[in-house]
Amino acid sequence: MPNNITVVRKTLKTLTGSTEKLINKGLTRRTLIKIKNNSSENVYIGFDSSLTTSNGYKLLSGGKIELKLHQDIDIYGINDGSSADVAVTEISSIWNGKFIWFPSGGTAKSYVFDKNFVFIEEQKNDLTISSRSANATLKVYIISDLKKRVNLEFRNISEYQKRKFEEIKNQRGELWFFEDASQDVTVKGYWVNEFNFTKNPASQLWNGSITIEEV
Amino acid sequence: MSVFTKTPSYGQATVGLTARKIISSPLSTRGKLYIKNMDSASRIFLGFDSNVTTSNGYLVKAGDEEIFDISDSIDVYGVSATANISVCYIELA
Repeated sequence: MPNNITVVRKTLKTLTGSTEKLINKGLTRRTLIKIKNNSSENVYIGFDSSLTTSNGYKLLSGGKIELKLHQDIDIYGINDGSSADVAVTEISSIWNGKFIWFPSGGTAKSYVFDKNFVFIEEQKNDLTISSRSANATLKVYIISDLKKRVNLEFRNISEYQKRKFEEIKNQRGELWFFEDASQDVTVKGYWVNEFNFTKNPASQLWNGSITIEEV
Repeated sequence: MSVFTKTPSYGQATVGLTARKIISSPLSTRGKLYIKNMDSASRIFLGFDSNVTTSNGYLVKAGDEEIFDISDSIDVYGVSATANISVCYIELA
């Protein structure tokens, strides 16, 4: 079962003789952008608003270019006539979430979700803590930072995935959650709620939630 | 698939009868270079030192593009049998 998906977005931009951005905002987690001059005119591309036909990278009629450019990099175009259609195709790859955990006395294990969570909620908890000390004096501990808490909701996961989650829950150790398996860790913490996955009698698949609180 | 995160550098230059450096100030940490011969008829020849000639250089035909995975420490030179041939380039880092 694949646990990443490829997202493709196509944009058609008509240039009218002045420098313009080809797309307003890059596709999230873009890995590749393809630009094709669909017109009979020459098109020039660049990466800032100072682009002209005298300093840009030339795409002849029908010409194209592929660039592995981060989503935050703007791409500009200009044509040497009155109207030129430019086709822009952006491709990104988004992975399901992932857990890494650390069994006692063993090496780290990881699991990329076969079926991704259907809902994610991130919270910041106020760590203002009060407790009674041994002599019954109320003490308040205030920590300036906030703790991250992530709630994940899963729907219709397989028996295998449910067992994997049980294994992770039962190890009771530190758990790292990655919202996207290909990206940096989202939160390093512990599974803090009870194991609550239940089987849907109709589908024989499992539903439940996982709450991870930052260490 | 890794992507380039720095704002690219781009521009145009001319090559002529004697070897000439195409990019005077390469983009720092460059990982990829696109060079295109913008001329509709004339060929250019590329090399990586000032000794490049139309006899020993890397041929780029009229309208063609070449892509090199070369760092900014490597200079690219161009030469042509015709004066003032325009080229354009993009550098990614």
